[in-house]
Amino acid sequence: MAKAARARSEGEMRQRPPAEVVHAEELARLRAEDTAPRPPGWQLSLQGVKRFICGAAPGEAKVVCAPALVERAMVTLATSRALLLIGEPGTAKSLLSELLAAAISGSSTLTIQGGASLTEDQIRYGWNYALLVAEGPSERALVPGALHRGMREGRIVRFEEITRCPLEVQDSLLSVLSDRVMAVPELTGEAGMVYAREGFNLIATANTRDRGVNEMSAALKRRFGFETVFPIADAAAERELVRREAGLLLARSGVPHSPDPDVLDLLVTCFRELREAVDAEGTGLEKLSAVMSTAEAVSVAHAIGVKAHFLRGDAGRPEDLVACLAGTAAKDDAEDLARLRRYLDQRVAGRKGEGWRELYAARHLLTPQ
Amino acid sequence: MSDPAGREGLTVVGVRHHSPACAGLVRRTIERLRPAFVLIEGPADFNPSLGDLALDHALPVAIFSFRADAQGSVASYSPFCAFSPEWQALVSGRAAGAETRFCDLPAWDPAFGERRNRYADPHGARAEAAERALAAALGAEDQDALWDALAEAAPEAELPARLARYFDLLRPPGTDDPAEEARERFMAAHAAHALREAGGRPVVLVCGGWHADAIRRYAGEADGTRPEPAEPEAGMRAGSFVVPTSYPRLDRFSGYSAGMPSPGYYERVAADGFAAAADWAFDAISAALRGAGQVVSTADRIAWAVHAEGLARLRAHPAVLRADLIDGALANLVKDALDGPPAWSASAAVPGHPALLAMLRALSGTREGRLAPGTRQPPLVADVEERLRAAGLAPGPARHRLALDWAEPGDRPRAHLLHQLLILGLPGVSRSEGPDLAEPGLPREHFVLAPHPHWLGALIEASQWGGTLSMAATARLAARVEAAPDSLAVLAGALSEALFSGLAIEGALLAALDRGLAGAHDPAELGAAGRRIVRLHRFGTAFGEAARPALARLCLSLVARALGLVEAIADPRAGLDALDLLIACRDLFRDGADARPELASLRPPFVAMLGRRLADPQAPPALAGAALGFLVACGEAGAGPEALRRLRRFGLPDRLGDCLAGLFALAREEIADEATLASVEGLVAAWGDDDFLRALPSLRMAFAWFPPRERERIAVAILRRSGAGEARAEAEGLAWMRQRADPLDQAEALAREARVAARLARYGLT
Repeated sequence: MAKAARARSEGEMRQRPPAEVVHAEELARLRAEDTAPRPPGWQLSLQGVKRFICGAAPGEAKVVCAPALVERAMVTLATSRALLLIGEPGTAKSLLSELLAAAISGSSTLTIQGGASLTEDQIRYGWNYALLVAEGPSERALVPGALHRGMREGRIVRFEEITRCPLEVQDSLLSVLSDRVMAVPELTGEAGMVYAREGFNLIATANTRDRGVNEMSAALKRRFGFETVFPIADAAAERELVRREAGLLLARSGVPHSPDPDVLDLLVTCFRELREAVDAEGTGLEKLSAVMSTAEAVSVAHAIGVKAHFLRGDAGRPEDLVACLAGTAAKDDAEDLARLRRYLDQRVAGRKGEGWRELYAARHLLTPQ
Repeated sequence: MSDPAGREGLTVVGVRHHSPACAGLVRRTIERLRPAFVLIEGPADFNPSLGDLALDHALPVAIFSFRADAQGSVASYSPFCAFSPEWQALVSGRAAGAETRFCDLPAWDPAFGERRNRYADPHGARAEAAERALAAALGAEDQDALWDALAEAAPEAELPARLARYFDLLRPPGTDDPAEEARERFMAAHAAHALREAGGRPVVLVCGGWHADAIRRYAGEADGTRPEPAEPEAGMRAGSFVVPTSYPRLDRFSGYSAGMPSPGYYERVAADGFAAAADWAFDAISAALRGAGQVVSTADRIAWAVHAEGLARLRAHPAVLRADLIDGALANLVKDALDGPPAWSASAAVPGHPALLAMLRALSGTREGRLAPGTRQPPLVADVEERLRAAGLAPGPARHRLALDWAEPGDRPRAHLLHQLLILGLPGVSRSEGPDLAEPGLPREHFVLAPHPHWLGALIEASQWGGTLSMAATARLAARVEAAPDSLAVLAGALSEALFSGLAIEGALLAALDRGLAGAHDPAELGAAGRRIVRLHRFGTAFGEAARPALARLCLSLVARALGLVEAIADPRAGLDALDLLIACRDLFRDGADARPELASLRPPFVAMLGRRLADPQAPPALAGAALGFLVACGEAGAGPEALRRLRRFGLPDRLGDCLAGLFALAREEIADEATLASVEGLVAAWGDDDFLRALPSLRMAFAWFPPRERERIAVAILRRSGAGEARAEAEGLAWMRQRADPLDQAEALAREARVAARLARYGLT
């Protein structure tokens, strides 16, 4: 317990501690209480992992998604395939992968961040060139990448935004995922072959707004189980989540009070209506091309709270929402700003309630930023 | 096992409809108790015909009940498959020597309401909340998965207790349900009566679990007299017949509301258990996906089977259940992002991916019910078969085509008969060819008659509309008009079908049409209906002497309305919409020489109005073109140089296309000569490339009025005029007609090339 407490106090100093640090106590408790059989190399049973992610009771879930999705994801990881979480940006794919890795392997830090500049060395292994030149290829000179370490140590490796990598880098995963072995041809003897220990697997995430999975090779697709993560279906659950997460972020930013509940209500309602392109009465709206995700709502709530507290000393007003919406919605398409203006002009105009009226009154703030 | 809350000797088995586990429970209960009476939730008016269900039908079948009166007709179903608890109650009850009876209200009873499926579960918001909470607590995704884990996979001994607990949660014991109380009291009265008759022997009542507790309570309050279903009200036709149905129709994803999920799968569960059913499902889904061109490799199937087994263990299921199967398939076979949350629960309308839909279809199976010979049938069936035989059209074993000519006196009644069948939407009858656009003379039609497996079922169900074919067809048409009394399209369609079917034209329909024509505001809607009516009018006496004056009167209303409407059109879009209307009027004035004098007196004002529109510089180009075309076609204006002079006024890129569209729509034959084309070509040649690209879509629309053969002729003429030799013009003209790439795409490519060239020129790179 002392260790866990120390880990936590260290965690408080960090801007964003990983899940295994934030939830260290809970993980330790679950491990102690878990009597169900565990897949080889796992620190928790499947029931334990599910309990960690979905909580013991409704409302305690660390990520809001269908329990069946978590079940399928766990079973995929426990059987022979890797897991690919796919969905719109901001649907908590990375959070889910972090929680899964933390629960299964006890650490979520073996992470590869996909991107256009990623090379094969960065995910497999590289060399300490000074040592390489001095001693020739040796285990000492080898700098293991995340995949190398995950295989050797039997841990879950996370691959963020896999579809943003060049296809040839993606395909370097093929032999690792099917044969569960990585050759290091520069080394001789046992070190020349890294066999994956039990517990090794890969969780990749991909978002549908970028290149999607269409270009991914069929050979690689076959080695993944696909899970689509969706925006939160239940309005109340989303509101609660935004409130909680924004509250945590605000506290970390030194804002003493939580976001104004009325403003939060407006915020989540606007985001949901614009995302689903349907208003509360079921009338169709124009769909924005920008992503109105829950994560984006959290960061808008955070921004409103910070601005209101440090600039004015209050908890946020509907007019702040208008300014932030302009920043969020008009990210990649100028037409979105016009759509947003029509939304405010036509839909918000007639709504009852102080908040909606203030929102409408502040519509002139909707200018490109 | 008498119920403590109810009366001694009465056992109420509350079931979930279509549940194999409940069917087993019902069978075991009846075999154990050997009751004197087995009462079943089903239409009590069917009791005299209960023998119909004892015949050797191939399941699934349904009791089809209807009630029809002057206001319309309502149908409902009580479906049965081999694993329905109600069906098991019938079969086991007969085997045990019990008297079996249906004990629910007839479908015509006002208290039965408008429900389509008798075996849909009644649910309130409270019950749904309870079910959701239960599903969340037990970790099930939806109510079907919950039910499978709770009841279908339950050990036999535990099942009754689990069912009781489950139904108590949905509807707490002792509560009344106002929407269901009449049905429950009726069933309870049946139970009390049976108890009195049984003389101490047990009575078993099988009903939806929702009603069980209430029926037990109400049975204690009933006095034991035999409840008689209320007679249908005077003037109401009602009946109940056995119809064949099919698994796809029973499945709630494609069938009627609140059916059952995956009947094909549950049939295997009932027959052979979950393991065998899972094997069947693996094969069925793989075959369905492979049939749709999806790859399902052996490795995929292994991973899928392992995954499903893993999920079953994680969820503490005693076997691989349906939710495990589909979840496993989803994780392993679908290699795409889904468009919506995956859903195979009752609440979802569409699963999130085509592959999921294919899987669910595979699980629903394809079994088709068939009625045993000698099953009682409604009079409509005999009536239709008799008429078909009399007309020499009795369906044979193979499909056959039939050509009918309205000029032949023998063919006309046969056409009437087939059109009446078409109105009823019976499968196996289709009209493959027939007049669609205006053409003078009598219609010729082609029909296809083919044996269809759903023919009998559909015919029995059509009997809700009437006892004879003409009655049913008339009622069906009336219902269609009733549903959309303000739609000109529906009214004109109904008129057309009635005339082709030889049905009497209802005065109300004519009056509604007349009103609709007179009050129409949308030129497109009026035009579509108008063309239809004028076409019918042009068939002359084909529809009988009575129809002719009625149609002429409608034509008159049409022209009168067009006169006012066309005068007021100012919007370019509406100008294009008015083309059909003007075509209808043209047909009427050009060919309707024998029409009534009132029509002739409308001609001068109509011509004058179009002249004004043509002279009006503000008139939409399409309308002006159409006005010109009308005048030319009806001989009020010359097609020669005068028309070309007028045309030149519209020579600007944003007007010419629309204007030509109007002109060609009305007077293609009269005006499409070399001189016109040369004149158009001259106008177009004067434009720059940008102008041409802007005008291209509307020009294409204008020339779309020409049939392909004429378009080819025009192409050849243009090529020839531009200096190509005879042979080359022919060849290129053909090539123009057979272009693969869309001309608009080609135009877009040209425009882009021009932009690139312009930019290169700007940087001095040419």
